[in-house]
Amino acid sequence: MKKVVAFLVAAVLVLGTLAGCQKPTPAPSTDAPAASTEGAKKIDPCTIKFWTGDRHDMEYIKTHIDKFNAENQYGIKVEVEFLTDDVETMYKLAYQTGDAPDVIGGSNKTVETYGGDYLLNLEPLAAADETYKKEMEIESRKYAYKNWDPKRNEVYCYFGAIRTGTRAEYNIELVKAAGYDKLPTKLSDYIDMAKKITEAGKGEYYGIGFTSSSPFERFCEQVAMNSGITWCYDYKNGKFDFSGYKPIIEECKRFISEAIAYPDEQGVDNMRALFAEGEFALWQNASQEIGVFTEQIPITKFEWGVGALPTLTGEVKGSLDCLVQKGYCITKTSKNIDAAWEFIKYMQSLDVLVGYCEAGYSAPLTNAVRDKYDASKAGRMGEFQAAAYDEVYPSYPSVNLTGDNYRKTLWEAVLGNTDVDAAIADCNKRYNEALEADIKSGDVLRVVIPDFDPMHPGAGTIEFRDK
Amino acid sequence: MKKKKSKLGHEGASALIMLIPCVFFLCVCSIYPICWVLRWAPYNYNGTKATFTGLQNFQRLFTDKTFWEAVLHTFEYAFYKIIVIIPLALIVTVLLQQKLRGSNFFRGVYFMPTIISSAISGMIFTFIFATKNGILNAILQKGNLITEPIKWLTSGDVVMIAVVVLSVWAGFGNYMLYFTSGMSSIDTGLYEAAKIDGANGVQIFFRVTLPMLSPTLKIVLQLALLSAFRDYEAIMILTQGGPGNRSMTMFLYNYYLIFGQSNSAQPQIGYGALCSLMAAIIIGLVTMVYLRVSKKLDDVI
Amino acid sequence: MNEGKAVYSAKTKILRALLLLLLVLLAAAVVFPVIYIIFGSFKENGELLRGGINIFPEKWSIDNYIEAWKTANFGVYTKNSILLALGVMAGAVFNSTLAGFVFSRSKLKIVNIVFYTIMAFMFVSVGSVTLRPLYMLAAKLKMHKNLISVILISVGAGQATYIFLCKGFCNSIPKELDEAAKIDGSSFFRTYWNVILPLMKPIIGTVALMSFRQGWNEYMLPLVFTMSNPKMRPLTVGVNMLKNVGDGTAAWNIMFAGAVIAMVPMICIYIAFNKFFMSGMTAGAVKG
Repeated sequence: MKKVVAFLVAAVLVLGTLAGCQKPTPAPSTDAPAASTEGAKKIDPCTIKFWTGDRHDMEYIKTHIDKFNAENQYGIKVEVEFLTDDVETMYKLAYQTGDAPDVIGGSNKTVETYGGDYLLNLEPLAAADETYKKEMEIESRKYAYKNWDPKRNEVYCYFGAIRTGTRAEYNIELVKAAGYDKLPTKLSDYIDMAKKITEAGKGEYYGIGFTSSSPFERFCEQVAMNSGITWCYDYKNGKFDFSGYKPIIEECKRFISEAIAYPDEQGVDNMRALFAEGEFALWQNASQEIGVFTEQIPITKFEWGVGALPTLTGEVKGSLDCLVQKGYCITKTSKNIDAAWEFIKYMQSLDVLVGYCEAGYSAPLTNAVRDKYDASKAGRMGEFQAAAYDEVYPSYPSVNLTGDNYRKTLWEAVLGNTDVDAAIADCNKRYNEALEADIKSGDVLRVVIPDFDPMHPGAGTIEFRDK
Repeated sequence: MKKKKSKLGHEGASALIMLIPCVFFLCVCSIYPICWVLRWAPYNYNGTKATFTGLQNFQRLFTDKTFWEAVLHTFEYAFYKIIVIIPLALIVTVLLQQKLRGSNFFRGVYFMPTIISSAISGMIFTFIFATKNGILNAILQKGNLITEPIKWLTSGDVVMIAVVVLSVWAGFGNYMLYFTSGMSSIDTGLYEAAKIDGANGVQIFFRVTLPMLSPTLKIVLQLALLSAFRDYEAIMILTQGGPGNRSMTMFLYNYYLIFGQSNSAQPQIGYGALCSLMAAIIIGLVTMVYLRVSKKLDDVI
Repeated sequence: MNEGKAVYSAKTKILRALLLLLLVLLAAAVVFPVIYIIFGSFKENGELLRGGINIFPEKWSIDNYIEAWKTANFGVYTKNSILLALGVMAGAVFNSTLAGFVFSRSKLKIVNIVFYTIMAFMFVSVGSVTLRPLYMLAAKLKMHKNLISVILISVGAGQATYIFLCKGFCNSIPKELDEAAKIDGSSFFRTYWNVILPLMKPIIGTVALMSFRQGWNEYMLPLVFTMSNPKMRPLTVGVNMLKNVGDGTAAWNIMFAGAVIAMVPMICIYIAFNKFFMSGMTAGAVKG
């Protein structure tokens, strides 16, 4: 009897608190202030907070922030936070709780993850500043759904540099021992080579290694791009299409089914350390690898080379998507917009960017930087210079997806945990359903490039449709 | 309530005041979250934007293969965990009862893993189970027990074993202590009597120890069931539910729904809330079935 | 059972030796992971990556610890872990002795109802989802930027067991003591403070240890609460976060060292107080 009473009381309490439950706080909406176009600005000394998800360039960035703090004429102090993981979640939580920073690093996913709900439109500020406008080429550096939301026609940041597409880094000794002088260009040959190395290794070393952190993106996706396959979004028809992955996934399954790959997928750093230790011969990653293999986890035991990824047929038929980097966004909650803008201008000034590229952190993006940049200073970064087939793709609309993204879903098929056709059909269905729903609700616009050419993805005429 | 208060007197009033902290915790930590879950279950809510979608989440729940697979895996995990951990704990308890040298020492050792955070033990076992450079495979290969390294954490065939090994390692000390305490209340005279009747150790165990321990066993089994259904921290660190969701349990899946998974899925809070409710109902049903069955068994015995 | 060290037959002796062997083997299996990690943390990264069967390092080095301390913020994490554990301990002892006393002594119906509600919620399991509303709540109250909210929630989430323990213990304290105090004019609270609390020392010790362990080992809760605030992370979260880092600091050697830093203090406390830990566990679960 006592228990019954207890439960009744609990129920009453529950109902009571239910009534007290509240709706979620709506995102605070600060109107974008008009850019101050007056000649002499007056900025009061203040402290601004800056968050970035990049850590590989920490020292360089820190040095320049210190310099800015010491030298700027307004008494602005910048406090930087180098976040190790999942910046987006952290930022969103911080935003909801009113602790968002003033400035946040911009990336190719800026619109997708933050967008106009969180960020200030920088175009008026940039257009009002002649030097910035010219050096950063703001007219031509609007990448749809990367830094620019075509629906709102707002630009949230301008990029200072690019990371090249993925390259294959290889252990020259192990590749030679398997009878190869250079990397094969055809995917099936590439896998055969990896297999030979694994067989020669007899369990001591392996042909290739994959990390647990987005392996699909690092290999299959890039191979698909290079092969000129519709790798995610069908720009011509304006919908998602993953069908092109089938031959690539079928080939890549061999890595697992024939036990070619290093048998564990561990964190990126540990995989790098394993590569440096000679535990496997092939490792795929983009240009930020340089700093890691020359400084953080230096490779001392063997000679290593950098080569192009293979393609399905052996011919390069499409460009690799380059990651745009070193963008800086101002958050809508910032109370120190002018100060933040001063900081951004400094971080994207010619000298800072050229120094950044010459230090080997990234490849130049803008002509102004490219002209001043001395490749010989960049060390082994030279081997990662943007190739003819490295280009920035127009982004496709980001959608409100239910369930796992295509990278995880399709990698499961590579691992043999799910059926290839079923995985592709699943992605096609979920992505397109989400796309149609989001277009219908007005969240995004359909991106269509009728004359899309995978070798020159940025060259087509881009259309935005609300249907 | 007010009426009552006037009758409470000084003692009653102070009693209620002294209860304020614990009532506060009850409301905040237990009741409020449940209301919140109920409230958001019919929403599509990604952390920033919420839209009411009515029964859409319910439809999704009933067709969501991953969720029901996770439910199945939870049962599978709980089953394996319990059939290993309970007998192991029971045997160890009985053996330690034999007044061997160093019983207390052994007890202390067996209990030790329970004081280590599941976050840390999950991590330790990630190292141990690693295929190529993990020490477990190295030992097995050295001892010629296996020829090829076993992919403990990356093969769907064995990952459940790895997960259960970790949970047994981390938890059997607890159950050993429960049994020890239950055993200490058994009248030693019963053993004497059995011995005089000429029963051997095994017979004593089945005829005296086990029946006398059955009340304890019943409670311990229930605790074990509850905790097995609730485990997910260590699994999250050991396998993230992989490979291919093979070690995804209900609570882990719910966590990923509520907080998202970096690099692969964004949070779907409304749907996650509904899945959590479903999970709570499933656990409630399991508990009820268990209580009913154990009562029936009592009647039979 | 109480034959003592009497004469054993040869057969029994062999049997007992076998049993002992079994127990030793099991003990070895139980301590092995811990030993492996501790010795492994002194290995150089290359050796860890190559794997192999050696438990002891080829070459002893404490570089892993130095690096962990310097580059991975372990100093801050350690401080946070200590604060968190002590906070949870203080909160749990305060709350559970108070409530345990009231639940044991008060005859009010409402008190009983509260008690059963608390116990009933032990069986409601919605799991990890509770962290989201609690985080939002803390954020609304501007309490998400310090460890206090984490401590409070940890105390609240674990209160049922401790209250149950304290109530059980209070029940075993003779009521005559209260009566006597009452006759002497002591109020309800005074009775608790002056008479009962001093007698509760053994159970306070148990609750203190168990809640300290709980605070030290807490993972999901601080994980969620420190997502946007890395400086608040305790060791459990900090060590595991290393897995996702991609800047050269997340190799195995640092993680080994981190795991040891997170684990060893607790083991030392356990070795010093293991009797209390064990008595607490048993009292809480089965008796009472």
